[in-house]
Amino acid sequence: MIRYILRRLFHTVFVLFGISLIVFVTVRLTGNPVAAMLQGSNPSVQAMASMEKALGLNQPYIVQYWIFIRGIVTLNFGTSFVTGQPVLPMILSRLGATALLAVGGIVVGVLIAIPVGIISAIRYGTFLDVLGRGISLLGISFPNYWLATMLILIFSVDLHWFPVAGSEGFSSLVLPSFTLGFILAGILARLVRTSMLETLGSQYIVTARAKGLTRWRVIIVHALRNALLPTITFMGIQFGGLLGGVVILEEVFSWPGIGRLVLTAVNERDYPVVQASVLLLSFLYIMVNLAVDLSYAFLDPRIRIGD
Amino acid sequence: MSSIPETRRSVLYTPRVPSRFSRVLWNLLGNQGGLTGVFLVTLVFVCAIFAPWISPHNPTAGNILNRLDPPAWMAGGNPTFPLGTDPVGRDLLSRIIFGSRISLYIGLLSTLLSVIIGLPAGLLAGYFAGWVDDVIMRIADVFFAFPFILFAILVLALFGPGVNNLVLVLGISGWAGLARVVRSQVLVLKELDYVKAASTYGATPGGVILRHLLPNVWGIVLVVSTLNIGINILLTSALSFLGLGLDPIIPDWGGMIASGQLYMTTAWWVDAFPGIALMLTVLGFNLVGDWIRDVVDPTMSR
Repeated sequence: MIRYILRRLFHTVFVLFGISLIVFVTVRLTGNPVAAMLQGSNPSVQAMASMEKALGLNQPYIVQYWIFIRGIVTLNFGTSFVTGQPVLPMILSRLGATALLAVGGIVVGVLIAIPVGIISAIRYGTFLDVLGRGISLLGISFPNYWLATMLILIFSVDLHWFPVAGSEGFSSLVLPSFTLGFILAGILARLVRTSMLETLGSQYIVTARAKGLTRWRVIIVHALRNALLPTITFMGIQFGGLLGGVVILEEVFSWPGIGRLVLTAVNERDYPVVQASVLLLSFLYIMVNLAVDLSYAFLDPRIRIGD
Repeated sequence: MSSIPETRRSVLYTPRVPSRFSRVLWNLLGNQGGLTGVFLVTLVFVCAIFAPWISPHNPTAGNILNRLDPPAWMAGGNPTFPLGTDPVGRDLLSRIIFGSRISLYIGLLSTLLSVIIGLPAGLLAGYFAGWVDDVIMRIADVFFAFPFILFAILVLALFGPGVNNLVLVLGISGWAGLARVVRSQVLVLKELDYVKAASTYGATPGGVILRHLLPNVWGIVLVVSTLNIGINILLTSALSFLGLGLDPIIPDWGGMIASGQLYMTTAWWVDAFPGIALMLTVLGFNLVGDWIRDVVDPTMSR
């Protein structure tokens, strides 16, 4: 177990190194931040040079990369080129807003997916099953930003139930969470259904029924618990996709999360902000997946993690 | 069956084995989801191929006098524009029909690129294991962990928007998933007796990969790619919606939805119809993907 974790952490270092290199190179290829900042003012050559010096851009690339890497280790990602604020607190405050949205989406997704998946499985082949599968197929086929637009149209513009955009109060969280949750539910419900069908066919379910437990007790306590295992794995893999969905929805709902931060930062060529956010999000993704793999051992004691 | 002597053949009951093609066809006829999917995908292909002939209007030319006309059946609707017009007076139906071209083009080509990179990568990683596997899969991990949407934003900021840049971004991000699936399939296949036997009889690694492994991973590659086409069409439209990726002149569904955002309260149709077209297209590819999985792997059919 310990050896396994160590090996995975070693892989993580390698992967993060690769990502740091890619983001470092691509962000520098997108253009000169000084030119973008002084756009329109027709700056003199000296003014540009002194500004580049102030931002540390006159140093050789290898030195700039070294400063970036050193920053990762010491958790000091420098200051934003544009606002001058330290990057890490900037990202962390935005990350909170994004996390709120993601959690809202996961809650809605799970609340839809588990009942739909269970009903589809226990009513296998009936109209309810077809309906459940239809809902989940629609979920994975909907463009999330379009669904968001339609929901805003109906519930904000027409019915005035929720605000059109923004992030004030619980009511502003409802539409983005539902949009995200519905898409997520599409994927999860299929998974819950398939794994429920597999567990419902196994011997111990028959035994549990035979010893006189009620139908629902068997479904919830015995079958669902085991069916959740593959579902959780998949949630981990989906974390990246969830993040992508959040970035787009933040734009639609003007939600002040990390996605909008990066979008602006790329446009403004704010190197430190782009580098740090990409790296942090990748790190988060890797950690979530490691946690998922490790949680296996706890959820199912038969699984021994190791080489 | 030809190995059975003629005399014994009459004794044995030999059912006529249907050809692979007719089996696939029968399976499709019994599968409503698959049929719907094939119908939707065919419809999109027909729209894309015959767009100039079936569109009632020029998708890029509009008359400002006709701007934001509602659909024909609504009050104030104009029968020449069945689904209404957009903010510059262009016919929505024609733009939706032409929009299928860009979606299919990017969806298909980017998936092809993912297969070209991911299939050999997965085959090599699975077959050779050891350091080859380690190197390939760690690179795949990098692509997995890099948040796609941020990767796309960066690369498109770097190369500028454009159809081919989108194909590149989507193709490069998609290979890692394919490589993982192929690799895990190969890991199972290479333990099978006949593959082991081939190696024992002196087949070269290249021979084993091409003759024994490749033919057995095509099915799973087909399933993953079909689903991937749908996903990539969705992502293309999302990037276009964010204003990244496509020239605004080219009719594309994501861009059309974005252009309708400002007029949401007064002209819902500008947003609604391209979205429905997009959804039905993706739904079609998802249904076809599910159906192919049923055919390729009957144990997964539930």
